[in-house]
Amino acid sequence: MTLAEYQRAIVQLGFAADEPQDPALAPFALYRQMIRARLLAMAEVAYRRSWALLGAPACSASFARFLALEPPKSPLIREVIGAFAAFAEAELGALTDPPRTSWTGALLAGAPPEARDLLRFEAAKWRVASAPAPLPAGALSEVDFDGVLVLNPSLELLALDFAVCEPGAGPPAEDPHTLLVYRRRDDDDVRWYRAPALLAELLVMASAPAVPPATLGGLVAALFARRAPAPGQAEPLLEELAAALTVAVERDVLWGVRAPESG
Amino acid sequence: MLEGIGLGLRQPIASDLFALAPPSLKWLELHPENYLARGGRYATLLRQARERFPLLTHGLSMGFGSLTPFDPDYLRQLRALVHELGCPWHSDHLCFASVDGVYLHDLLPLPRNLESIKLVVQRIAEAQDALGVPIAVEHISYYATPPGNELDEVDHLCAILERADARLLLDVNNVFVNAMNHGFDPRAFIDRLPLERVVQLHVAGHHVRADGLRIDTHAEPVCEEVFALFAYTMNKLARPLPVLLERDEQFPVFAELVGEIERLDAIYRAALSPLRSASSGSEPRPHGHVEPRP
Repeated sequence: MTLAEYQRAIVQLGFAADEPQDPALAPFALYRQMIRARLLAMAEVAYRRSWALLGAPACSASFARFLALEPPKSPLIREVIGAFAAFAEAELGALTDPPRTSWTGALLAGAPPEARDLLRFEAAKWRVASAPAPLPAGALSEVDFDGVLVLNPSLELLALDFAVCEPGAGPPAEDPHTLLVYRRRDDDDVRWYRAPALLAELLVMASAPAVPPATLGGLVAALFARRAPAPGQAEPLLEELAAALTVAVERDVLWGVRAPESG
Repeated sequence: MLEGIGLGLRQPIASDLFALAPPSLKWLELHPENYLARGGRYATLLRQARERFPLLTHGLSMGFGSLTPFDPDYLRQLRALVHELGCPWHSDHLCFASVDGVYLHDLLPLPRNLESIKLVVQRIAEAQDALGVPIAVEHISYYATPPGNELDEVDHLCAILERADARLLLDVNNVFVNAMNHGFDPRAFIDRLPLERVVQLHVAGHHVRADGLRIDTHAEPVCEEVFALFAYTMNKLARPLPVLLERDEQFPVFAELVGEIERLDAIYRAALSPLRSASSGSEPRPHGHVEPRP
């Protein structure tokens, strides 16, 4: 057995859905247990509520399929745990979005409808907890129409169908909304905020890549063009937007504005 | 010069560590994988640790025997961290941890033969060039013997250190665990090592299974035999160097860790006392100290 053959056999031993039966690998069975137990334990911590909602057997089975089909491709274990959420979400999606695929394990078939949103929410918290959030290079100033919005770099915008952000006694109601998940500059806790629809729409527009980035004035103009307020409704809409931006600044979702790129 | 007893920087003990560290705790070791390109609590933890202690980096994912090329992003970020922290070397493991771009997130033993020696020597050189600091290699605990072994563990390790001109991170607990699991004399193992290449020691606890197999968990107190082997090793080294108490899980109340730190420190100082008496206040010269590469 060459060095490469040996190493590939160990990877197969570690991540294959079924434990390989090669007698030469039998002494390495302990490594299969250790490799899988370490990763699984971390996933259980990261997705604690999903584990509770879906049940450990279903989640463990999904994690085993993840390891078999998409074995870890990053030296950073937190990225592997993050990748599992995308895999499991696809599994859940395949159960609800036709056509159903045969490989998505029957254990997830009884998943409640909010399961996908809950997994996305926990995955966002996992990513945001570690997201670098460096201060931007240029000077920041107070929000004005001529500046380009500077959003909190840790911010993630989640379009959710269920209110999964606060655990309640019963299942969450169907209630489409945009959840902002982020860290403030002055502490390390992950926070979330259910954004008013107008603010959510603006933040989605501001997050979209654009060259050059649009000024706040440009975004507002585009927003008004999209919403086409009736006569007399433009001013209340602008006031609503101003109030939402104030809240966004207070919550540290919005850091301010920077000067637009010249030329 | 970085020397004396250190402890692993771990989130669950960080607040106690910063508030209650005894004077005998001189430095901290961190796994760069936990801090690279990361904001939030870990970034704060790193900043707080830097304000209080010298730091050394100890990686988990390079696997000098891996067939996967080093991740260029990882190397670039690690180089920046190692230089930012002023680490005199970076350590990682004599093992394989990935193949074909798949990472095992564990430390797997290599076949002890010429093929693995050539691979490891080449990768250590590559890592040193990429990081711009010397590499210290840590030998691992292992629980199975790979096919294709042609050398015993110590000969394989010595050949790599010699050919790569590398430093050694000597893990006293690993020596003991392997000696018990695979039936050799841990002191004879240490006697055969090129001790002039040792730049750092690790000491840890391990788990003993019902069937007698010892697992290097870093989740138990250091056992008496490992304390004794540490004393034996320090007496042979008889020079100052950084010694890490490794504790990664099942953290006890901090006072228990302090007790272990102080016991290690007493052994450490006892081993150095003849040297320090002889030098009468001048900076001791490490015996056979390997100068870092420029």
